[in-house]
Formats: sequence, C-alpha cells, structure tokens
Amino acid sequence: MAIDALTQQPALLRVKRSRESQSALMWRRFRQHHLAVWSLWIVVAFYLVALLAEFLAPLGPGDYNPRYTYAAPQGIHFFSTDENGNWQFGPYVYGYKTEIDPVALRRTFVIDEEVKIPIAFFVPSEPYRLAGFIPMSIKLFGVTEPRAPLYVLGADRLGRDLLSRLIHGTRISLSIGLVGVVMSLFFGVIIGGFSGYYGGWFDGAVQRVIEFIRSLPTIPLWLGLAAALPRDWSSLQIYFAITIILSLVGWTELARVVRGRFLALRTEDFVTAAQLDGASDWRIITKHMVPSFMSHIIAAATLAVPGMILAETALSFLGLGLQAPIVSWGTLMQEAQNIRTLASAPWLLLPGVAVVVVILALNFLGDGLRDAADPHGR
Amino acid sequence: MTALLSVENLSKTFTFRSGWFGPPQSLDALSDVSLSVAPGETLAIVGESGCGKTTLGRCIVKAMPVSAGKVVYRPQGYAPVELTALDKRAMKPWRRDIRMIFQDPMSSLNPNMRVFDIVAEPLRIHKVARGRALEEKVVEVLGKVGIAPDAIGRYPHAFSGGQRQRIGIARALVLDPKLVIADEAVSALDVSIQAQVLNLLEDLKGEFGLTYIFISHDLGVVNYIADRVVVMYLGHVVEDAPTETLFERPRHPYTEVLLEALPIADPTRRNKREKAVRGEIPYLGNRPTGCPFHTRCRFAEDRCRTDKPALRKVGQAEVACHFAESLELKGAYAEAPMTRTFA
Repeated sequence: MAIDALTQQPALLRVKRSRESQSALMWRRFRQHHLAVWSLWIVVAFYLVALLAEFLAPLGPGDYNPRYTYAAPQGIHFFSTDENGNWQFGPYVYGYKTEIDPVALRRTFVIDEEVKIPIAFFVPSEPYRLAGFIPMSIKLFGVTEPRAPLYVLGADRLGRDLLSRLIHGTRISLSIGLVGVVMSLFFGVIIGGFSGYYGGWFDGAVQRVIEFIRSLPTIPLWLGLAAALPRDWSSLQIYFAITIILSLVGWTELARVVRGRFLALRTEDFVTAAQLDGASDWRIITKHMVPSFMSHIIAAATLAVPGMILAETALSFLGLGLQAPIVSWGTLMQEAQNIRTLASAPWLLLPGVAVVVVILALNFLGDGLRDAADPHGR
Repeated sequence: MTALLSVENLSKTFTFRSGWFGPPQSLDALSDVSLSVAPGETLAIVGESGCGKTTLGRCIVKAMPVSAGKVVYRPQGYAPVELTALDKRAMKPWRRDIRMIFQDPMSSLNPNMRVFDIVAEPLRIHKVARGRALEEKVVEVLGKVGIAPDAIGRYPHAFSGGQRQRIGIARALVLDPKLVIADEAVSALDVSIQAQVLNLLEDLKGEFGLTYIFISHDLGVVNYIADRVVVMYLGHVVEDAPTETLFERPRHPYTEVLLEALPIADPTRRNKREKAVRGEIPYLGNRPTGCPFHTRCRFAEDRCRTDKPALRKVGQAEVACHFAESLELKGAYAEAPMTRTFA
C-alpha cells in the first residue's frame, strides 16, 4: 500500500523532491575548495565590518586629539594580576607617558605600564545612525573614563585612532569595489550580450572598442579623468565619479566573458534544439543561455572586485582619488608616504595589510566560485 | 504514393571572408539536391564527412536558410506547405510535425535542466498540455523509450550515452511528429548501444507511424534500418536506390567505394581487398568540373571531366554517372554477407 501511494504521487512533486538542485551541487563543489571557503568567511567578515562600522569603531573617523599625535599602538590585554598575584579577567589598555628624545628633542609617547585603562563592552556613546539608518547610542567597546586615550592600533599625525579610521575606511573601499563591479556588470552584460548573440558588424565594432580601451594605460587614464573632476564637488559626488571612472575600464573584461559565453552557447546543440522546437529568442536566452553562464558571471564579477579595490587604493594613495574627509584605505595609506613617518610610526602601514588580506581572499573566493560554476564538469 | 516531404533542387552556399579585408569566398555545400521521402519510409542519406548530409538535414528543418530550391511538406489532410518560404512564426506549427534527433547526446540536452523539463519543453513551447496532462505525457513518452519515471528529476549528466540519446528521442517524439530527422543519431554510441537504439527507433516507427530521414556515414547501420538510400558526394546526390538494390548492385563508382570500405571481420579476406578509392575528397570551394567524382574515379574518361552527369533512372535506381548502365560494380554481398548485423 505504502509503495502504491508513493508511485501515485504526481510526477512534478517527485521531480522537485527527488534530486539535488543545481545550487546544491554547486555548493557541494565549492565546499571542496577549502581555501575558497575560508576566503568566503574572511570576505563576509570584512563586509560585516563595513556594514557595522559606526558600531565597531570606538571613535569617529575624524575625532582627533593633538595630545596624542603618533601615539604607539596600545594593544588590548585581557588578564591582569592584582596586588596579591591573582589572575583577573577584564580587558584593559595601558596609558601613555611622554618622553623627550634627548638627541632630537622630540616628544614621543611610550606605553606606561603603570596606568591601566579598563575597557568595557557596549559603552554608551554620542548618538549616531548605524549605516545611516538605525539610530543608536552604544558602541561595541570603549573606555569608561572620559578622555582616556584608546589607540589600539596607534594614532596618526593628528592623534586620530587608526583602528576607527581603518574600520570606517573598510566601508568606503569595499563598497567602491562592489558598486564599481555592479556598474561594470550592467554595461558588460548588456553590451557583451548583444555583441555575442547577434554577432556581425556590431560584434566587430564592440570588440575593437574594447581592445582600444584595454590598450590604454589605466593609471594615467584614471589620473587624467580624476584630475578633471570639479573641485567644488561634494565628497559623495566625488565618490560616485570615481566609481564610474573605475568601471569605464572594468566593463570590458566582463563584456568579453559574457560575449564569449554567448558565442559558445549559441552553437550548442541544446540551443539549436530549442530553436527547432520553435522557442522564441527570449525563451532561449532566459531559459537556456543565461542559466548556463550565470555562475560564470558571478565568478568573473567576484574576480573583478579586487581590481576595483586596488585601483581605488592606488588613485587615493596618489592623492587623485577620494579626498579627505572621506576615509578609505587609499587615503589612509597616503599618511604613510614618507620614510620618516614610516620609521617613527610604522603602524600607519596597517591599512596595506587589510588591502592584501581582502584582495587575496576575494581572489581565492573567485577561483573557488569559478571551479564550482560548472558542477557537472562538462 | 505522394511523398511526405520532398526536397526540390536545393542549393546551399556559404559565403565568408578570409580575414577582415579578404575577398569574399563562397562554398557550395549543397548543389541542386532533389529527393523525396514517402510516408512510413525510412530514407537514409549517406556519404563521407563534408558531403553535405548534415547541411541537408539542417536545411530541411530550417535550422539554416537555403540559397535556392525548396522543401515541400505534404501533411495528410492539408495542402502542401513550402517550408522554405515560411517565416519563423508561420513555421512554428509545422515544427510539431518535423522533429530532429541530434548526433551528440552530450551536448543536445541542456545540462542545467532536469530530464522532466527537457522533455516537457516542446509541450510547453507549443502549449500542448499543462499540469497533470503534461506530466502524464512526459512520463508516458519516457516510458516508451525505456527511461524509468523515478529518473525524471535527474540531470542529463547522471545518464549514460545511450540513455541520453533515448531522452533525446523522447524529446523528439513528445509532440507526436510525422517526420523525424535523425542526424547521425547513433554514431556517438557504442556498437552494442547502437543496436539497442536502432531497435528502439524501429519499434517507435511502427507505434507512432513515423517517417525517418536517417543521416549517417555508417553503411552497416543504414543497411539495417533504411528502406531506401541516397548517396551524396560533394553536395550532390550521386545515387538514390532501394537499400537491397544499392547493396547488391551499386550503379555509381562512389557507392562501390563506400561499400568496399565496409569493415570485414575476416583478416585473410581483408588483406586481399582491392584499394578502389584513391585521393582525398576535394576542397568544396574548389569543386571539380564535370562529374564531381572524376578526380577519384577509376573509370573516369575525358567526358567525365567536362560533362556533369544528371540523375537518371537505371533499373530501380537513380544514378548520376555517364556509364551507369555499362559498369560492372561490386556490391557488398558479392563475397560474403554483411559482417555487421544487428539482431
């Protein structure tokens, strides 16, 4: 009886239930690429930081304190011993004391292990809006005593907290990568799609234009375009202008990927079979072609994000990209441009470490996605 | 009996440029091809690769436009339709009647779709059935080709080559067609699986009342399945005869060459075989004058180099050779029966 009931099920139900879906197959393939899985978590973590920047950063990106210029990183300590030699849990940072360099007569800050400044979680703060929307007045962590210094990763020449600025810069740098890639994808898919599906003279013309754009040296091109931006634009306008400038070159790569997939699929037998069924162009594109290369596009887009981030960082580092007061990884690294600063405050290079970690993670993630894009290993 | 489909003086010329500024070149894949297939008949089209047989099949189903000539379809109870004159919209209803089976079962099924959706797609495009009726139709047709209903949720990669080809056949048959064009439908399969699929095609033909145009380069397969054979060479029809007649008493030297090339399982006889064919198949863009086969024909005379022979009736066959009546050509049954049989 039970078996009978099973075979009586409508066929469609059995279709839906019986086998793994396409995405499940891809996920299984992706998970075999351990490096890519780790990279996925790293990338997710960085984007979470970007999203929750105001909550995670103990200070605002522009908060300065001239009393602590170039203060060294404090680090966070978790265990302390009291007078009786007992271990005690409770995070704290050391305070600073001023020392005068006897030779250069320069004031420097050194860690003062006598002073312990306790750190508390979820401390109240000035009201702010998380990601510009949710009103909040609490930070993940901070000092409880007012005006006590907190420079976990050190301070820059104006006494601004590097950690807070790094966290805020993450938002700008990572979002510029995403927005730039989305814009590139938009142009790339439309132009590449037309080029590949209809071919002919249009395809020829588009390919020549792409070759021309790709043969231009990118840095001088970006520099020229960025220098042409009006001085009186707001920082938000500059931000969008820079993304557009970056995607002006970025779309060519994606357009080529899309066109290549269209060309390859156009002559596939299953596309011919659908044509011989009398299927419309629209049905063939949406039902047969796009599902066949969607995963490739996602992989290609992921691999394009690091290029965008690097380009923004390079432009900003050269002083022609984003301008203060916008904080990005590139503008942060501008601080570390001269050797004297580097010698006395090497922690200002830390944004570079963040760039390297994110770029590597995105590249590995893109590789993993590309491998998983074809779960059947055709 | 009137033909179900006839191809009249069909020509197909491909034009292309070599490089950007090169002179336009043309290549005649088919020249002046005429043939017809009667209802219920299995017509085989054979020839070497590059002879235009696949192009012919694609022209018949309108996968590509023709350069000249026409394809006329005569459905029962309707006026004849000139398929070559129809636009995409007008062609659509006839696509239900004329279906195609592809050569490579690996690439003719969309790897991202489940078997159910692959077979259901023609029904959905032509809005023949939906819901429960659609499911039942799909399961029924898959059952006919021997695919179990519990496999319909799988993707094509989960099937063997033979199973995939049977899914391809189910896809062709789901619309209850009248004419099925099988382009090298078994060439990509192992010999044992070939037999299975051929027998299936044979059974389905009786059950659905089908007519086949069977495009193949494999004469063993053709001998097994076809009622009539059309031999093509360099885009021309050189011989058109009932299967028995063609294998017993070929009339065109090229047919003899093809039959000669059939594999012989006995090594002692194989080594004694005369090498009847010489030379390479000429480049299509540089077609010989006169008889297209004269460059490789052992009987060629001056006349063959200048005059192009037309197809004419010789016995039961139609042959395009000046000496069709006089040549004594060897058939496949001359020394031994066919070495490859599918039982």
